[in-house]
Amino acid sequence: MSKKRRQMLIILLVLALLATVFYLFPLILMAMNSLKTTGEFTSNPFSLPTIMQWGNYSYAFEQMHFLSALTNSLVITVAVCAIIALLGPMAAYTVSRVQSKFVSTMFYMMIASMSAPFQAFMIPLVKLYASQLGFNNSLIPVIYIGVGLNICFSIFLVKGFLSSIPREIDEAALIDGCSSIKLFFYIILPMLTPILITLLVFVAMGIWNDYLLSSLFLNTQDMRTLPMMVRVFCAQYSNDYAPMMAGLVMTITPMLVFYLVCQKYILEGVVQGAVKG
Amino acid sequence: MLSAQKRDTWKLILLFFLPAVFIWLTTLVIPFFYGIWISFVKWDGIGNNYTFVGIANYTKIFRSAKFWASLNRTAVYTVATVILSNILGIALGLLLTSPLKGRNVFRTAIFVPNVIGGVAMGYIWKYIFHYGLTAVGKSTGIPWLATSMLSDPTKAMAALVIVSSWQLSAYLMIIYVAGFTNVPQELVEAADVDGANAWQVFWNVRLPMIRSSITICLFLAIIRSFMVFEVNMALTDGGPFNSTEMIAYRIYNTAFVSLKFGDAQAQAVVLFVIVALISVLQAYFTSRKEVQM
Repeated sequence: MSKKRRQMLIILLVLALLATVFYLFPLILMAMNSLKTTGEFTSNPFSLPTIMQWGNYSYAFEQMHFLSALTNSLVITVAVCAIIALLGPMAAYTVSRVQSKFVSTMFYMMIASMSAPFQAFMIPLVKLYASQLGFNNSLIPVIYIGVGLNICFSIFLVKGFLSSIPREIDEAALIDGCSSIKLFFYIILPMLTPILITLLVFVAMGIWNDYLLSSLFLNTQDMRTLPMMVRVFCAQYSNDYAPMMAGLVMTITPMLVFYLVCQKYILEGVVQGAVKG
Repeated sequence: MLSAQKRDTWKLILLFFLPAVFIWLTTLVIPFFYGIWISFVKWDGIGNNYTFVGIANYTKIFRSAKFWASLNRTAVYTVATVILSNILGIALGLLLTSPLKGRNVFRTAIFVPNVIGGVAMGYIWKYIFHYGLTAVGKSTGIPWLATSMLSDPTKAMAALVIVSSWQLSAYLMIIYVAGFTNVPQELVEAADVDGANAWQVFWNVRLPMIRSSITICLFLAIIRSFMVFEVNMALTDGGPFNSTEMIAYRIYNTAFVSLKFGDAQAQAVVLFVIVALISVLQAYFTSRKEVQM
């Protein structure tokens, strides 16, 4: 390795480290300051805590109703993912295998609707689901609409993957007298596993972090999700910054762990989702 | 045989396709048309007391200086965020496709801002602007850092652009990494052999080769910025003095704070039209150059 090349590698490494610090320092500051008293926090934001204030965490845990918020977030995320995991591939399979004007027209209209801003549906959704159908303060409309907001993307993503599975597999099974539905569940669905993981991890991230949709339907403290509880917490105890940081750490950590485990699929989802255009 | 096949097809459409279509219709299509109806009525959100007012909501918002101001600052914010996030994203993409050890670890770490929801992120940065940067300002004696950026209208806007670009650039980085990875290595080597310097290789070889990634990222950034909501709410709450209230947040406030649902829906329809126009432009640009990643 030449000297010049080695120098370049060192410069690249330094740049990459600087970039990493730039993108991570807010989180590091948050974690550091979650263990200080509020006084120390405001006077010395960059120092390490002198005495670890673990009490901030138990205080935030109580104020945020952490367990109930965590449960609500989990129920919504798991339910949306389960429904998407089934309906998305089923519809995508139909789109890719059935020659029908109706199916393809519907598919293109669904794709076209993907970039529509949520604000355009927000008010009518509240009116329809909360006022008229009576799903007030309930997780059901959040789950149902959560599915609706992700269904087009999931069909799009899975359909792209299905096009790469050779039709000869279908034809062989169909000739053997297998019905399309059986064929889908026994042969096609297992082959979709990689794209399904990418899809679900991506959808889960969006739903878990959602604030707007859940805030439209969930009104009482026991129904709220984690991102909502952060806000309640911050608005009410705005002078108590240190426990607020502890609350933020607790909100972010589940998603961060999830990300570190599934990061490969999330980054893949970003790339595949971007091509939709 | 043929009829059995036909029956099979119908079963597929009925059992596999229509459930998804039903959900799509009931969560997007019907609410959309219902929303257009709402934009023609005056409705305070309580009970069923609507009055049909025709296009009055639209004429009202088009005459409203606050609406135009909000739309205008959303456009300014969008332009600034799109430029900054794409420059950072390209720089990161280039850096993280260079022969660097542990590239994947760096990619994973830098993407982290996108894992945290907008609300949590807004609050973390709010604290950084309030306490972190002011502490730096006081200790170094730089006067414009000593007061919180969030209490000055122009600086608050800059703060919003910084935070959004910080997050968005890490997202775009992944798409740019994919783009740069697909640039054929022979092209770069050929340019090297021909004596091109690093900048020339970047400008004349790499950048033109990732044109489709740039198109994708530009439009992704435009649409995301135009619909900014959660960071806006958590970081500046539209303040100081409404100077950072972007259009999506304004719609939310008009509806759920001021309880003027007809007005809010009319604004939402305008936002929809703008985003739809951007999407049509995007479809036009991406179909002109083949998108391969």
